[in-house]
Amino acid sequence: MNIENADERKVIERVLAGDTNSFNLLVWRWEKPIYNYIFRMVGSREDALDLCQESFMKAYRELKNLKDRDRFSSWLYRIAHNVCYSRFRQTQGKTFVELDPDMGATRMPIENRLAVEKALGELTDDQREVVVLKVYQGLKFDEIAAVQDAPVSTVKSRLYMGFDKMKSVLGETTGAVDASGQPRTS
Amino acid sequence: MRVVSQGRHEQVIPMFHLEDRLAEFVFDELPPDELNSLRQHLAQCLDCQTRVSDFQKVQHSLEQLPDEDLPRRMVFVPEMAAVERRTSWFSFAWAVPSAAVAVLALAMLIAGPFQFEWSQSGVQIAFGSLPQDSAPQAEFETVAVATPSIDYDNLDYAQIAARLAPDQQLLMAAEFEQRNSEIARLIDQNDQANRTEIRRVRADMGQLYDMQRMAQYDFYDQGSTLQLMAQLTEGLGQ
Repeated sequence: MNIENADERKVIERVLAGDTNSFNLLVWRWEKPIYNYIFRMVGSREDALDLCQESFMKAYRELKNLKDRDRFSSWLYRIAHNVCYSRFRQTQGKTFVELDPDMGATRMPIENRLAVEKALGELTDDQREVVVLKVYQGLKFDEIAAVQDAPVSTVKSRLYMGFDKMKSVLGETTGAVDASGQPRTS
Repeated sequence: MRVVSQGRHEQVIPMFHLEDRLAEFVFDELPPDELNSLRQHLAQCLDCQTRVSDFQKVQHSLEQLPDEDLPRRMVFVPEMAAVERRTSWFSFAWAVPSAAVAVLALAMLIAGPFQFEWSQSGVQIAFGSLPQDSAPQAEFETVAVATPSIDYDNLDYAQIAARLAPDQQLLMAAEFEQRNSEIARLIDQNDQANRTEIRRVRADMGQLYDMQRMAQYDFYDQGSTLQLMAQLTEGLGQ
């Protein structure tokens, strides 16, 4: 048995029954996806860490209000969404900084990576969030709709517009992508 | 729908294009019957093939950015546990060893203001405000701290044990109390200029918490967080 397989409903019941330590199971299960979601939204590791921690704090405090305990992850992403957008409002327009350059070990050439990051940064917050939640986090459209509190049709529209814009930006990035928009790999 | 002839067989080709079902198609969120219909259509429709191809190129570009590991991990610790630890560490009978008094004096220098409170069991010394006896003990206020990334399978247990010696615990507890107050003040101010300082204090607190947590779960013998996770996940099988 590991945390990946643990029944989150039972973990939540434990936490609500007073076993606070069990909340760490939920943290260990979800901290990396939530951190990466926030990181790709705000572009800064330190800010992402702060906001990730803030998200889990709120989740713990509001856990008793979670009605559908089978949808913990969607609910957690919704909290992280609120935390991110609250930060966006505080920073007033400067909603995204270029992702910190040292992205860790990856086989992707640096120029291609920067091109993709630049393209991601060109999207609106809503578009970028849909792209991140769909491509990286693997949420379904109805789950993203719940996170954004928007109709599924709006979510899909944001995805299409985001992809169109990314294709355009990637195509304009000299040397980083080929004529079809595919990043060069060598 | 239309019917096309393929040799002696006739095949029904769905005429509707992918349209707004493109994303569901690529991300495999369509019901099987609709998926099969669209696959049949796609095999015949160059426009839709181009749309799918363009869409997937952007998708593949994005997917080349890998997920990152957290620079530091988080641990949630109930504040009450911290209070209990503090109380035990700072409660002494009258016959306090002289060596501990010397350590306490050093701790006071670090932690600043302190209070005395008499009780039947002796004297309690606490830094900051004392826990209120009338406070409802069932109320847990949980704090979250970011801890440095630790390779739990390759810990230097001798070093950790040395750092958890009684006098070290005393010093850490005093320092923790001071920094806990400090970080609460900074957070209350909600001042962006203090963010660097908050991060520094949190990182320091994280180190203290992590050692305390390992001590709490007797990690010297058990070896890693995996065992803690196994302990916590016991009985949670699906």
